[in-house]
Amino acid sequence: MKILYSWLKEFVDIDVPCEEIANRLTMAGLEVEEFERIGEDYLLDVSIPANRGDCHSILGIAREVSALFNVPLKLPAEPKFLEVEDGMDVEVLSPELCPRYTLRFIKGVKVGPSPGWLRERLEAVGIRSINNVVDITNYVMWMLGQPLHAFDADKISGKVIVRRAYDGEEIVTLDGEKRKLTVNDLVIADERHPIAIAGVMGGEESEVSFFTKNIALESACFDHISVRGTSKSLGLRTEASIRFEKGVDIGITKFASDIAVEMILKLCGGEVGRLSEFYPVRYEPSPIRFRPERFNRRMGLKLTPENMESVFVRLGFKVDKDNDIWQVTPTSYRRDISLEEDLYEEIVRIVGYDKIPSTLHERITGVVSPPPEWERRKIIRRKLNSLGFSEVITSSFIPVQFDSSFGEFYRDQVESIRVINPLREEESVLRLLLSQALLNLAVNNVRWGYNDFSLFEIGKVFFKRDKEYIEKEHLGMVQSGRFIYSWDKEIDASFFLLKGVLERLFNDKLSFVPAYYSALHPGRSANIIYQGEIVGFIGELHPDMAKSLKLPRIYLAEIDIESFSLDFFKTGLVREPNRLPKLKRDIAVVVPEETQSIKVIEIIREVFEGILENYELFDVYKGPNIPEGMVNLGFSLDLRAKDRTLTQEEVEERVSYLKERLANIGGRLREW
Amino acid sequence: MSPMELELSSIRSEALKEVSIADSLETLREVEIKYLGRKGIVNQLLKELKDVPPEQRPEIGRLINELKLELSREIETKRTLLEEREKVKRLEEERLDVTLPGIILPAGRLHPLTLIIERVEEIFKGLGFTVVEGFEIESDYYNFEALNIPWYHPARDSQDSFYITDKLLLRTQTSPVQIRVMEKTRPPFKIIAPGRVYRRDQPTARHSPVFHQIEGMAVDRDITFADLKGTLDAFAHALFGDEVSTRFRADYFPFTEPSGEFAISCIFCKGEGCSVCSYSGWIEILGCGMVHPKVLEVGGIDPEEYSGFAFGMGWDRLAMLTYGVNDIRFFLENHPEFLAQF
Repeated sequence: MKILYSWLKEFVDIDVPCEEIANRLTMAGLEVEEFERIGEDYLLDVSIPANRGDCHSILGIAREVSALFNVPLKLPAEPKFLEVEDGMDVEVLSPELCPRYTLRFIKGVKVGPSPGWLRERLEAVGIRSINNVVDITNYVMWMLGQPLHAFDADKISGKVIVRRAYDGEEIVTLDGEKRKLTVNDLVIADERHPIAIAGVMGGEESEVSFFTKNIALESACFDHISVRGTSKSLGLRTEASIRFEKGVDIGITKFASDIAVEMILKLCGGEVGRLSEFYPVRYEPSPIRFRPERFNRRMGLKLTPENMESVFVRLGFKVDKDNDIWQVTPTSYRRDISLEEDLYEEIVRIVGYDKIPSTLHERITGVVSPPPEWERRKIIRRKLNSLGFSEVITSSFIPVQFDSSFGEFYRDQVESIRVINPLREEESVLRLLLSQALLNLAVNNVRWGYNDFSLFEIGKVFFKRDKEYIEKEHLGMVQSGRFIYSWDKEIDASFFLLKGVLERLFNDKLSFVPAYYSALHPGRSANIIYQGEIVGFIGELHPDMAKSLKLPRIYLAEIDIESFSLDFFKTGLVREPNRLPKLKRDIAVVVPEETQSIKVIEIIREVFEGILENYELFDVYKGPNIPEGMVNLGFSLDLRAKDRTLTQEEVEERVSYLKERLANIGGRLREW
Repeated sequence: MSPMELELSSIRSEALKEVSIADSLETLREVEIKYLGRKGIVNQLLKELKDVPPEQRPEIGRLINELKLELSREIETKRTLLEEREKVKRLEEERLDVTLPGIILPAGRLHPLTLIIERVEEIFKGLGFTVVEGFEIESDYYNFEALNIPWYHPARDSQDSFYITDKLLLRTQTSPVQIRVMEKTRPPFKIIAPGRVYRRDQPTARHSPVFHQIEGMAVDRDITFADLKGTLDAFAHALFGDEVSTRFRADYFPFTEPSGEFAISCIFCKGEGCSVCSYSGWIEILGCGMVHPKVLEVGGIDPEEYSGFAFGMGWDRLAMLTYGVNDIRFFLENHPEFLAQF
């Protein structure tokens, strides 16, 4: 809210540099966002917090300044004028939404342009001048925080009725828009139809124009929740609705009206009719318990009770002291204060947050371990970094075109989650899989001219299963182009490079079985199995998809890491190094080429059980010297027993058993 | 001289000549075999010794042995020489252009948001805080109602939400974690809760519909407002250095009372005023306050017995300040050139 320093000074007796006022207001929670010198005057733009409806006026800011600097407030004198008999009847049918309503009839006014001083002041604080009557209502609103509305009284038929709208009822508002209302909206109506949306905007029909002779001036207090609801549902925010939704002082309704009347008489002429008022239940603020000792204990301060009392006095609060428990009654406009803690904030605000000491609560609260997923994430990140993969963090929203990509992972058991009120298409679908986001990133990388990348993300995926909304943590990886490159050596991204990284990360505890994914290369895709469950997938992006996305060969992998406990990644008990001699044995296995290598590996593991320390598949060969339809697999075995020196005879015995086993799958051992 | 002696002499000079002109290890080896091999000339001579008259035999035998030793010595000397020469040649051939670039092994990097949270976690760990996490899909209850933000509260305006159903939304703040922690944990506790949050904002350099916050909360007997200020001071100095000054001022949040806003002196202009701090000299880094008694009650904690403080800060914003990044969208964009700098 914009205020002029000169205007402020009409309400508070202060003589300190405006900059200091701005600083103190900011420190006390009313942030002065802009501070500008205009000739001899200053313009301040004050940001009013959501709970301080009372500060939406010059008077409100003046009250704060008065309390902060402990200087007297100057209130305008109670206006006095002679009333004539004419008036208008008011009926409030929804008192729950309108606790106080006043309407003043003024006849014979001369509507015209406002005098220069009024126009200038309004324009300085950002209000467009309309005519003298409307300008006066705006001026008083700015000054006292009470929104006012002037109707052309001759356009009102019969009495004024404050009621809920009927569902579907319509009104054309001052801005020329036709608005459709519901029973949740409060309207001001005459005997025919609505003439204003209460607290939000007046109707076009009863607008005050240069032809208006008689006016009806409304000053009222509307329920803040109702005004806010209407303003939101209509998408219509006005200076009036902003004030009503934050709470307008019910005690100032009539006074504001009288001040406006006084100005209208002075600037527009006319005669004042009688006031119609509805105010069945007078609002009285309730006292709040306040314990000075508890205040100091909670705030970490050592204020004397006298200090505390003086702050309440400066704020205009009433204090009833009864030893250690006081009763403090706030002013009618401070509806934000209802609890003892609210009173604490008032004292600290006025004393100054800079007076709070800086201490540490050093009591040990018990060391609680971070959640396992936090530690798990750290271990995975560190391992993948050392394996040459870099971390990315992508948005939870994915482009709609990738909405169902790789969805086969869930075997038709889940649905993706959509936001019902997206701002743009780009923020409407939550990722079902990280691969969707990583594929999108791959497209961007290539578009930016970066073809070589090895990336991973640990993040949440979202899906709906059996009406349940589920978030799960996944690890996603994407790789493309060259992995190691130089003038000397080059290693390219490949299915097996990515697989090897997963094997290292998951300590060789995963198995891979061919699987179908429409977005992956049919011969280069696999599900990842851990303890009999499908926990992820790996594959090369389908060439058709790569082509349409203008991508080179892209390799993707994704794993649900919630399937792995923290212990899985942690180092457990370690074994002593085996210092017995190690035997190296190379074997060449020839098997039909359709044989999965894992079958051969399983046989080797079984045959050499107990003495196989390590194996390496160092060669896969087809061609001369190998019969048509067969493939040669070269293995290098590290053999060592835990408890004895292994003999050549024992090894040869196992090798002949291996020959038998290989024969069962149509293979044989190839002699060197 | 006997004919045998003459022959020996000529063989010797011929052999020494051949050794001296041998210019490679292979030629030298050939010479060695020719003279000293099993079927070599010297062995041949020894065999012919039987044809020498007996009185001359010792003398001739001695001469042959002498020749054998001399040739072996000469060949060895020559071999050492040739080996040395070949080594020098090989080393010359193996000479590298040491100015060629090295082979770079891929080294993975962490995302800047990870780097920041690890620092923040370390700092708060030292202050006795532990990490907890919450859900990103939250109910209206946890995100708003339980935090003293009823449906009509104006504070909802600044937190326009993405809804999934009438009652479920993408959390607009990490504060729901406060309620979830209180429901599970009895005081005393001190936690930080980093996480992703969502607001229905148009993306700009300063706002992203998807961003991150770090929530903090401490509840115990007699936790004071001064403890809040002290904790935040300690944090700010640990993260931004001892030279920054801090400012604590009043603010409003529905779930804290009293509430405050915490700022540091602008680290770019040292408080002089620049575009980053909007010429105020101060950079707001977080909102905070004493946990509202209604919020404690919702969490099943008696506000007469316990008190607590809470704070919430922009995680991306901390990264922006730390690394001088002026567009929040960079963090989720993951441009390779941006990430390569961390």
